[in-house]
This record gives sequence, C-alpha cells and structure tokens, in this order.
Amino acid sequence: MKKITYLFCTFCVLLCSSLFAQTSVSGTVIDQEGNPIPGATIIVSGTSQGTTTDFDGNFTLNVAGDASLDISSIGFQTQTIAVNNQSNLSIVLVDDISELDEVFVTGYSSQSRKSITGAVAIVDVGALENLPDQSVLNQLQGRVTGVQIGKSGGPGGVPQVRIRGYANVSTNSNPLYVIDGVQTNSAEVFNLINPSDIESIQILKDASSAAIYGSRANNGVVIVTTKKGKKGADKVSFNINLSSAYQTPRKEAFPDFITPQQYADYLWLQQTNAGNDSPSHLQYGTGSSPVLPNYLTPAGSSTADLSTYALVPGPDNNPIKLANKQGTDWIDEIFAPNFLNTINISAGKSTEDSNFYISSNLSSNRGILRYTSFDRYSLRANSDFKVGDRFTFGESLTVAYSERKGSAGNQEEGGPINQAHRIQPIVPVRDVEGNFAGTAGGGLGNGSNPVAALYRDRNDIARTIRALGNFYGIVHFSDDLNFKSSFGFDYSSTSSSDLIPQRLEDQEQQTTNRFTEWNGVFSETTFSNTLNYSTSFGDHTIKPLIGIEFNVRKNRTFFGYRSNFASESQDFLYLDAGPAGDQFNGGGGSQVFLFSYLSKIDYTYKDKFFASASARIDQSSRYLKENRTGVFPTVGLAWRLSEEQFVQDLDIFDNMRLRLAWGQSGNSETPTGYPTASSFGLNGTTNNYDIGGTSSSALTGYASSIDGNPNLKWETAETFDLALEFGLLNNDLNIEVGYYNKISRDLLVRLTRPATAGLAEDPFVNIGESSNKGVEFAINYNGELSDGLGIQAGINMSFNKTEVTGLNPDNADQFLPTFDFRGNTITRIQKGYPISYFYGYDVEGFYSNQAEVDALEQSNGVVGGFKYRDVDGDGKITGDDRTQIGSPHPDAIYGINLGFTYNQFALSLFADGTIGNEIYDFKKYFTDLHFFPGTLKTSVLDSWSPSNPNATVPLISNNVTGQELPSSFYVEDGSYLRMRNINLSYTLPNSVNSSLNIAAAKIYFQVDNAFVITNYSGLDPEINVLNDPNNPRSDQNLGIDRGAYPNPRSFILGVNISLH
Amino acid sequence: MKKHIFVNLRWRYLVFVGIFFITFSCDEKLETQPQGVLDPLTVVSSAENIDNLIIGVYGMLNGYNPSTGSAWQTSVTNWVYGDITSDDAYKGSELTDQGPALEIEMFSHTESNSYFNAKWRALYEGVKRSNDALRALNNSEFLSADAKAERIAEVRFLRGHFYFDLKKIFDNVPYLDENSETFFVKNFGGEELTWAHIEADFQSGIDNLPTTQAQSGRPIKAAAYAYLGKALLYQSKFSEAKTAFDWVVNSNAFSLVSEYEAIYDPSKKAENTETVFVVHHSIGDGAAGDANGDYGSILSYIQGGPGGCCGFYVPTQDIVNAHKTQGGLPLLPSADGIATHNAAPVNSDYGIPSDAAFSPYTGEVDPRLDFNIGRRGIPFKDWGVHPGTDWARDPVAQGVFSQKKRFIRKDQDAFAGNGAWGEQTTAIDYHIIRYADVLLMLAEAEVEIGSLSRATELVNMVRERAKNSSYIQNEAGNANAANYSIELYPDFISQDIARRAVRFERRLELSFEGHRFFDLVRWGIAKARIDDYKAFESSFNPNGTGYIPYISNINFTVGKNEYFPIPAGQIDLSSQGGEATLQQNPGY
Repeated sequence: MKKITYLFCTFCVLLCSSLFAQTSVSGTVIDQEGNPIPGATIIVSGTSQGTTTDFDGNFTLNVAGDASLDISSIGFQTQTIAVNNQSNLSIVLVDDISELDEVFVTGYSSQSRKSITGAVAIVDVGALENLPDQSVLNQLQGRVTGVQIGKSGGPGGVPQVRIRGYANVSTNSNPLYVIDGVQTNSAEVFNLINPSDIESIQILKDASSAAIYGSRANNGVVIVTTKKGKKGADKVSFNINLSSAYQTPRKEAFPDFITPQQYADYLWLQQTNAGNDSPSHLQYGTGSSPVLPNYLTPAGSSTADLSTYALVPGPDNNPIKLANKQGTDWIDEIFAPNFLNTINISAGKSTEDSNFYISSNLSSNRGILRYTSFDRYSLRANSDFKVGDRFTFGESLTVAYSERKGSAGNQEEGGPINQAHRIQPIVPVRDVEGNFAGTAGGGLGNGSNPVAALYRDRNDIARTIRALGNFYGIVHFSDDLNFKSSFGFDYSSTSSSDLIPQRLEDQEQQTTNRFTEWNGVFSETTFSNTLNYSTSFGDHTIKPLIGIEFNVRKNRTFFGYRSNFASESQDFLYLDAGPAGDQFNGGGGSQVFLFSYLSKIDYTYKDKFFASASARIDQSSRYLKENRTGVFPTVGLAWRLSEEQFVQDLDIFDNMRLRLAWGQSGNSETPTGYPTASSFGLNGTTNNYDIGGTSSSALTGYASSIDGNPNLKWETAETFDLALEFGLLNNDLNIEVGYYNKISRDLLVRLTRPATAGLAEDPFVNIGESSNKGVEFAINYNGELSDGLGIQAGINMSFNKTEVTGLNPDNADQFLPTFDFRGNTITRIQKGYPISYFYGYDVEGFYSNQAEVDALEQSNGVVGGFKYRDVDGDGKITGDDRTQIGSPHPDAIYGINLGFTYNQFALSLFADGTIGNEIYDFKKYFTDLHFFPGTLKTSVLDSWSPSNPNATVPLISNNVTGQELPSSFYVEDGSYLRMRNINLSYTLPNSVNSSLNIAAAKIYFQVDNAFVITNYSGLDPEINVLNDPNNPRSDQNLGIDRGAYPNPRSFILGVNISLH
Repeated sequence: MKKHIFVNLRWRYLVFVGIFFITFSCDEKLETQPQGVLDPLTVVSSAENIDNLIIGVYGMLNGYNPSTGSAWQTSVTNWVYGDITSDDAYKGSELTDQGPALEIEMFSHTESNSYFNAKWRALYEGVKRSNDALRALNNSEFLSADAKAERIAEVRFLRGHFYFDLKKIFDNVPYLDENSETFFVKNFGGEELTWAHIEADFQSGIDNLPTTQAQSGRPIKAAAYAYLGKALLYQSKFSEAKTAFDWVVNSNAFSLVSEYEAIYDPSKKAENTETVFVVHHSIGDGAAGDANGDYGSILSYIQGGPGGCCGFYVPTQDIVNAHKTQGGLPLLPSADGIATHNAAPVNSDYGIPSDAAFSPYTGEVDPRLDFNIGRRGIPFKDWGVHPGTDWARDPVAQGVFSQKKRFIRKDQDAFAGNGAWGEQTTAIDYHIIRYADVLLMLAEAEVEIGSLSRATELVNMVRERAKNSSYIQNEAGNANAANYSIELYPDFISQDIARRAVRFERRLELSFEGHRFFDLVRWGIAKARIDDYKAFESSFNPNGTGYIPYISNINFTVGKNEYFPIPAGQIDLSSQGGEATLQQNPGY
C-alpha cells in the first residue's frame, strides 16, 4: 500500500511543477443572473495559454495588454473580449440553451452532458417538484430509462430501486446512493430528505460511469445534489411551498367477497360434495340447508341474553356479537381517505465569498390504511465560504426527525391487509357492547379482526433521528489544480416501541401482551481526499483526478421486552411498568471498513471527441488479506458525429452523438460483515438446556451458527454499453437509443446445503453468474406549437432480460430455494431462468373423471381437482413436474409524459407502466381455495362440478385436498398502465406579483394515480417485495402479493410563493 | 516576487497533502473480527466451553429450532408422526387448520409436505451438533482419558437418539459421523444409516457412561442398555433385546412411581424414578418466548378451555373404547388386530351441545382412561368438569375428547410460561423412555422367546401401578368419577394371547406418548389395525348425527406408508454433479 502512496505523491509533484504564473489580469466571469461561473475556460486568443475560473468565477491570467481572451464555459456561448490594458475584467456570459452543455456531478467531479461517455440518466427534477411523496425515490418509476422502483406501500415505507434489472441472488441489488458526496446503500435515507431541497439527480447506470465508486457501485449509483443559494439581486430569496393531498383508496380495484349466505351455502356444498347428506356447522345449524344465525356468540343462536355479556368468554358468558348478515367488507373497513400535508420554507443567498441555503420541512402523511402515519421534520443548511484566494470551506447538512406510526401492514402474512382477506364476512367489526368482535364462537376460522389490529398498533412507533452531511475544504494550489478533502457522515438512531396486544375476541386468542423497545444506532463515515487537475493544450483538454477514500460503517442494536402489562394504555407502556416475569433482551452489532484508491482521467478533443478512463482499487474488511483487493477499471468514448462535416452536410441533425463504454465494478455487500469467518452462537432458545430438571433454569449451550468461507472474493460485474443520441429540429426533438450487456461473475451466493450440514447459516461462495441485457429508448419533444402554446412530450421505454447464467458448476440442477409460504417455496433461482422465477405446477384444467386421475398417477389427484401438466412426460404427477409458471420481471417498463404551457397555465400528464411481468397472488390461498377457513372471493361461486367442467376453482369438497400447492392457479398477468399524475398549474403574472409584493407565485391542482389499467385482480399491481427492501432476501421474493399496500389516489392542492 | 511566494506555498501544501496520503495505514482496521460471537477456536479452548458445546446438543432434544419450521412440526413428542397417524388421535382443530398435518393423518401426504422437511432438518441438526461436539472432544487436551471417554459416550448416546428417530420415521436416511467429509451422503447403496450405527452409539454409552449422573438429564449406563434394547426390539432381535432390558431391570436403577399421574407432573421431576431418558422442559429460564418449554405441544391445548388454544391432538373414539374392561381386564383384539372393544362403544356426546343433557358411560373402564383423556362429565385435572362440546374447537369435524398428558393442573401456573399466542408452554417433561416402557418392551421380548410367565409378571407390574394409583374423583370429591375396574392378568395361556395382551397394555399405558404408529408398523399390523379403526369410526353414529366425516378417507398403503417420504426439498438440495444423492422411499 505504501508503494502506491508514494506513486501518488510523485504524481502530485509532477502535476504541480508544470505550473508557472505570469503577470496577471484578474477578472470575474458571471452569468446573466449574476451568478459566478466556476470552471469557465479563458484562453488567450491564438495561443494555447489559458486558465479556468475558480469556484467564484474569478481568474487571474498573465497576458500582454493588447491580447484578446476567448471565454468559454459549458452551457454558455463563447465570447471574445479585448483586454485593453485593463487589470480587472467583468465578463458576463450568455446562456447557451443547449441541454448538451448542462453540467452534472458524475463521480468526484462534474461533466457536461455531451462529454459523458457512460450511461448516465439525468432526472428532470423540475417535473418531480410538486409530487406528493415523502421520498423522492417513490416518484422515479417511469421517469428515466432503466430504473425500476418497487413501491414501498404505506407512509414511511422504503422503496426498492433497481437499475437495469436484478443481478444478485443472495445479496440484494441495491444501488449506491451518494447525497452531496455522502455514500449509503440505504434507500431509507430518502425518507429524511425533503424532495424540494433536491437540485439534481443523476443515475449512473453502467460500470463505466459508476465504477469510480468501486465496490458498492455494482448495481448503479444514484447521485443527489441539494440546493445552494442562488446568486441574484442583493437580497435573500425566500420560498414557501404549501401542499395538501387528499389520499383515497382506489376502491374500484378492491375485490368482491361472497356474502354470508353464499358462504354458508359454500360450507354446505363442501360437506355434501364429500358425501355428507346431513351437513352441520356450529353457526349455520344442521340440515339440508344452512340457516344464518342472529348471533355468532353464543354460536348459531337466534337470541342472546345480553346480561351474560363478558369480554372474556366463559362457560356461561360471551362477548355477544350479532351476525352481520349483509357481510362486513373488511377491505373497506381498513382503508379510509386521509391527508398528506407538506410545508416547506427555504431561504438562500449567494455573495462574492459565501453562499447559503437553509430550509425546513414539515411533512405529515396519514396513510389510507387506518392508524398509519409518517411525520417528518427536517432542517437543511448548505453553505460555502471562501477564505482568501486559496481556500474554500463548506458543508451540507441535514438533520431530520421522523415518526412512523402504526402497523406497517404491507406484505405481511397475518398483517392487517392480509387478515382483511382472511376474516369471514359474517363477523361484525364490533360486538354488541362496542368492543372489537373477532372469530371466537366457533366455526369462524382463525382470522383476526384487522381493524382491531390496526387500532391496537396505532401507538407502535419508530422514531428516527438522522444527520447526514459533509464538511469539506478545498485548497486551490492554482487555477488548474486543487485538492479537496471531504468528511461525510450519515448517522442515524432509531428507537421503536412495539406492543403485541392482548386479543381475546378471536378463536386463537392472544391472552398475554408483550411490549418491546428496540434501539439501533448506525453510522457511516466517508473520508475522501482528491486531487483535481485540468489542462488544455491546443485542441486537447485533459482532466486527471486521483484520490483516496476511507469508509467505515458501524451499527449497534439492542432490544428488550416484558410481558403481561396490566394496561395497554400508551401512558403505561414503559418497560418498568411490566412485571419482571417473561422478559428478554438482546443486541448485536458489526463494523465494516473499506479503503480505496481512485483515479480518473477525462480527455476532450475539439469538443467532439471525448474519452474517459478510471480505475479504483478497493480493499474491504469483509475479505481476508489474500482476496481483499479489488481493481475496477473502466474506459469510455463519445464521439459527436454532428461536429463532423459529413453529418453536418445532411442538415438534419443538430446533435448526433455516439458513445460506448466498458467497465468493471465489484460487490462485497454480504448481509454479514464477516462472510469469511465461522462462528458459534449463544442462543437461549435453541442451545440452552435444563439438564438438571429444575423446570426454571437452563445451562448455556453453544452451537455452530454461521459457516464462513475464508476463500470468499470479490463479485465482479462487467458492463458493455453502446448508445446513439440524436437532436433534431433545433434540438427540440431528442432521441436516444442504447444497448447494454451486463454480466455479473463470481456472484456472492449463499448456497443452501442439505440439512445434513446442520442449521448454521450457509456460507457464501463465489459461484454463479447472471446476465442483464437490454435496450433503452427515449424520445422527447419540447417545442412551440403556435404562439404561446408550448408542448412537451416524451416517451421512454426500457427492455431488460435478466437471467441466471450459472449457479453451480458442480451441479447443473442447483437452485436456491427461497422464502417459505405455508410450507412451500414459490420462487426459485436457477441456471437458465430469470432471477426468482415462479416455480410450481402448471394447471391444465380439472380432472373430470376417475379414469383421468388414474391415468396420471397423481398421489393426491381427485376428480374435480387441479390437473397438472405432466412436464416430464413420465405419466405420473410428481415433484418433478413443477416448472416455471411465471416471472416477476417485466419485459419492458415505460413512462409517457405530455405537457402543455399556455401563457400562465401549464398542464402536465404522466403515465407509467410495465409489460409482461407476472404476479403470484399468494392471497388466493385464503380467498380462492377452500383449504383455509377464511373469507372467499366471488370466484369460488364458479367451482368445478360435472356440469361446470370449465370452472375457476376446484370442486368444493372436504374430500379434495392438496390443491393449495404452488401452481399457475395463483399467477396473474401483472402488466399495468398507471395515470400517475395530472397537474394543472397557474403562475401569477408579474403585474400581480408586483402588486402583491412577491417575486413569483404558482398555484396548482393535481390528481395522482387517477386510474390504472390492468388485468391483475388484486388491490394494486405494483407489488413491493418485502417490508424491508434492505433484507438480503427481498430480491428472492419478487412479485408475490401477500397483501401489498395499495397506492392511494390523491387530489392535491398546492401553492409556491417566492419572496425577495 | 509574486511567483516566488506562490511556489513556496505550493510546496508547503504538497507536504500537507503527502501527509494525508501516507498517514493512511489501514491494514489493521481491515483485519476486523466478527463482533459479538464466538469463534471456533474459543469454543474448544477449555473443558468448560466444550461442556457448553455438549449442552448445545441437548438443546436440540426437544426438536425446536425456529429455522426448521414450527415447533409442533418437529416436536420430540412425535404427536404428528406417532399418534395422529394411528388409531389413538385425530389431528384436531378445524379441518383445514394445519392442512399438511391432516394429510399426514390421512396418508395422502406427498414428499412436498412441509412437516417432513422441518422434522428432518431438526433431527439432522441434532446429528450435526453431536458430530461437532465429538470432533471437539476428540481433539481436546483438557480432559483425562476417562472423562473424555465418558463425555464422548454421552454425546454418542444423544446422536443415537436422533438417528433412532430418523430411522423409525424415514427409514432410509444418510449417515454422517464426526469423520464425515461431505454433507452429500447417500441414503441407499451403503452410505445409509443402519441399525448397526445406532447400536454402536448406544454401545458406546454402555461401555463408558457412569451408573449415576449428578444431573438427571444426562443418560446413565442403564439408559444406554434400555435404548439399545429398543433398537434390537425394532429389529425383532428378541433374545438380544431381552439381555439388554434384563440388565436395566437388574440394575435397579429405575422403578415405577406409585401414582400414574405423577409421571408427567412437573412438580415431581426430582422424585421421578421412572425416568430412563427424558427431555427436560423449562420455562422462565431466559429463553425468548419460553421456547425451552414444551413448545411442540402448544397447539394441543383446549380451544375455549384450559390453555385457550388450539384444539389439536384429539383422542379417538377407538382409544376411548379400548379402555373398557370386563372383570378388570381389557377386551383384547383378535389375533389379526381386529378390535373387539368397539362392539358397544363408550357413549359419546358427539353432536350434543354442552347445555343439553348427557349421561357419561357407566360401564367398567380402566382408570387410565381418565388419567389420559378428557371427556364430558369427568373432572379435567383441577380445571373443572369437562363440558364436552364447549371445549372442542370444531366438534363436528374433530370430535369432543381432549388429550390430557401434556396439560398442567390449574394450580401449577408456576410451571407454565408464555407461548406465541395465548397458550402457554409448560415445564412438563417428555419421556423418551420411561421404566414402564422398558418393562413392556421386555415383556414383548419374553413373549416372543416364549417366557410367558415372565411376560405376565412384567405386564402386571405396569397394571398394578395403574390399579393402585389414586383414581380420578367426581366433582364433589367423594367417589370415583367413573366405574373404574382394573385387575392383574392371570398367567397367559398362550403366546398368542400374551402377545395381544402385551401389545394392548402398551397402547393403554403409553397412549399419547408418540409411540403408537411406530409400534403398529414394527408389529406389521398397521394396515389391518388402521383399516379396522377406520371401518368402525366411519360407521359410528353415536347420537344420530353420524361421525367425523373425513375418517373414511384415511388410506394406509402397505409397502409405502410404513415410513414417511424423504422430504422433496432435501432430495432437491442433494444434487451433486447432476445426480441426487438422496433417493425417495419406496412407494412415493
């Protein structure tokens, strides 16, 4: 390592000694608004001598008094100015409207759009400005090519961002987020960042652009830059944004459930079809037809003695509840309209030697699922100071506090959304005394009242305080050479309180409560030092950069609980208030270190040929010394064909650019910080044993808990990227077409071993290979239709094919089984298939007679039951006949936007969608099949019978079992088109502004999620993975609907006011 | 002049930059160690640590480990695999609750049934922990040769137990010991577990275990003889089995406790002289959710009654009838296993609400009926008189009785902890082998060898204890709750009668202890008995309401259902070089 360090120093010396100054002219380069232009190039006309402006647009140059200067900067028209013996010049550059010259941060430095050689998507932040979301990530779906968002569901949920498909199988495919230079893999950080503080978002999609971030950039990088003070009039600019969103459930998407009478008839059918001529049921009586009872407790009664009411059922007492003969619509009961309100206040100013931006944000989101909310209070301060000529210091800092309340309810078997699909319709929400009613009484299944669950969890709360920021200093050795040292930190502390409440009204009661306090502290610090140089000679410009970086991630958690609290009032729920009997505590932590060298060089020839190359060397504490170092090189080229005569002769293209890039990046993000080490655990539950027969104490036992792999090494992704861009009609029409091929090798795979290996966590091994190939396409038009009527229209579409191209060279049939759903895994990861494809039996229809059953030799085959396809053709239906029954990956994702401006009015529409993905609706286990005594959808009315052979569901009979196995019965087309936003805004004319004494004002009305076109029968076709997208297993459970939180429809009214 | 200053400044800064780069020496940081866990070297670094490793093997005895599945799928009590599959118990609860268990009861299960994979994984974790401990012991320098041999014998005994369960449940399973170098081991073709492997583990116990242990959970030499005898009995090696069991009896290490109900009384563990090898359950010991208690039984409490949930594991009408006696003696089945006790069934309150009149059976019954089974009209421990239907979760679908052995008394709340829902785990132990079991196994061996009088004597030892126990009293506490009648057998007059009597006694004495199905299989009468039980209960019509409908669908297939299938998931995972190392059992 030291050797490399010396090399770096030598490099520095070489760079620095090439600088010589002469007698100087100084000056400032500013834009039309008075903002300084840093990095503008000043060349003495006719020579190669020149310099660039510093952070504040200042420059100093030695020239003869009669010389002329050519001043150019990306995004501005080039100007020539005569010095005329002046020693102090003030130069105003005029905007060059071309987008091509916009400058973006792409990794430790900035680049103009036209010089970017890799796949960098630039998000139109302006279009996101007024969208009703607390996390900006939630709104990225369909906005740029190649980016897929798994919506989080529910207030404060964390979305899953995937760039160009899924590449990993045992670790998650999270991108790296870089916020003002602070790195994190946690999408959760966006819960604390006020979307209106965001100045720009760039998404680095390929290894060529991302690899400068090294080992954590395998799945792309999302770079976010927050706002700074804007230079303007000599006043502070002050903005206020207010918005209120009325969020409602999209009721038209809710499924239809059968009525209690239909349910009772169904139970009768179930028994008569099994040969029982005299069906009976606790609630519906005995006889040839069922009778709906008046009361459910006492079971099946026509009358009840209300004086015997008791909350806790006893031999002669009951929590008496009336039968809801009309049927309770549980989905309707748990969802209700609510508000998301936001207030932002910001102020900013920029002067000669300082710049500040502060903002505060208050955002309160009451979810459409009752008793769920997420509130955030955040404060941001960004500032820069120039000290003397050679130093700049600055910081960006956000501190936010949030409270997430209520049951998350999302994608959780047994969670309230899931329970609303399980509890029978005859159960009322409340009993005769107004207490919550449940399934006690008999024959009502083992669901539980989801309204009660939501209400009782209403004070479950997660409080997070998070500080994220970065302090930096820049030393300007010369105008061309600077050294930047930056210390970034992301610190968060979360404490959560969780009550498992008593639940006495249900068949399966919870008689004891439990209250848990959990606390976790996470920190990540990134210390980076970079040396930037820039020089031009003739038509050539080179910008080398070198640096080092040290990254430390630590976490520490603890929790404790007690049980049997005397009261569940919020005033009472502190651990001290619980009895000391059933109590428990635990905790843990980890730390991971990363040390890196980075280098990059950008080369430009005549503004038409661009090249860049970078290399990063990472050393991770996750690996042992022999495998610790990973080297990640990239190279990229861009050629502006439109600068060539033969294209200009065509007189069609205002811009034409070809770029191609190649690069490698790495991954070491195993869920454990120590994948090489084996360890033993102390686990009171599974290891300790009462060997003395005391009944109340146990000796400590050890057992192997994690098996490590000392030979583990870096996972590497190699990307090839090719794209062609066109600009036509004065660049009003822009078209971009790209192709990429990403191959991930030595995948970090946690291979499931047979049970003979024991239950210790399986080790990671570097086997496996995955491939993501795709085409991305975008077309945008931005022009004027007629006088004053502006139009902006665009469509983008991304096609991606994901495939596991290798998993275990020793075993062609190797697969990774994934999450267990009621005893079966639904998805598999296997060579030759998409990651996490759906796996099960392929339903061909139903057995219509015994001869068909016998012919196929299916052990649980039955007339009226599912007939599975004999995939292996051996004449038997066995486990070998399970096959691919769907894929959660869309063939294409797309976004469509259309905008009009006319005078003070603007209308914009945005829609997005997916094509070709499937959803595995696990809820059908409860709602469409009769193996679980819950509620049922109307689809069960179309059940198999000899006279109805083309039915939707199998024969309803107690004699029919085993039909619930994973099969294509659960799989539905998940394609959708969603009208995501319709926004109409009115900007006040200047005349009104001046009379109101404000700078600008805009009011807008917006409808979010106006409609969805889909064949999917569930609540919402956007299915989030798991509750926790950081869970390494979340990528193994894609597209499975266990009760996903649906997107609300919102009506938003907002106003933005700027004051000077 | 200006130029001069600038150059000077530049060098000063460069030194500053250089320091930044050079002072970064981070090799040390990059060598960070796992936090908060034990590394493999620490675990074997002292005798005490190795002892903890052995405790870890015991930690898997009750079968519970959340990463395998639910506790009831893997419970050491084998209530799913050994009892609901037999003529003793129904799955219980509502028909579709725990559907995979219903499939097991009806023998309609497939290799994909989740219960099998869970049970398999839990048992192999026991084997794995045993092998880890054996490796640590073999390499240990902290123990004397004798101490080492004793500890090795202890761990091998435990491994023998895990393998015994695997053998009787799955039959053809892979064998791995502390010297195995791969986890991919075949279950056919020479790499499979054999009885010889199991015998060798118990033989190690016989050779090196002490005759007494300070802690009652550790096996003694006589326990090793008992388990070896059981292994021999499963192979019909009757004379060798007799030798082993004789050693146990002659050692006087164990004796029957005087009160039948005390066997499972958690307050009487210390004086339980009947314990041969036991799983000690404990609550309030610091484990989350009291998971070291009898977690595997949490589904088996009474829905709406004692325990609160969930109404699984319900006694059959057939076993209730089996407790009928005539002159104090049972109604023995025919030679081919056809019951005679079902002719005039014990009257059932099936179909009768709890608030409607019902008169309990007044005929003679074995007192163990009400020790082991809750039924209407009889006090259920100290929880009050069993109300019948009200304590049945779904009486139409699952019957009206309650299993009693896994219940504590109401006044023993100190031995009840917390479960996942409202039900509570308890500190009731599970006896893998108890002395009455040894006596009855010895009696079986004696019958097969032809020592009928010795068999009579052994069976009568067991009956005499039941006879002399305090019977269940009526609610007023002034008389027996039912017409209890139990007498000793006169000398068996034929081997056939002796065999039927010994087997029947085993059913009565050891009901709801997870043995019944395995006994039926090893006696070769599983098909005959299960069909007989099915025939009776399918036509049973106690109160004109018919009886539990699904029983007519129970379908035992000879040559297949004697053993359960190798879990599909494990066959899938066993592939090596394109070939599955595990093969499916016959018939699946």
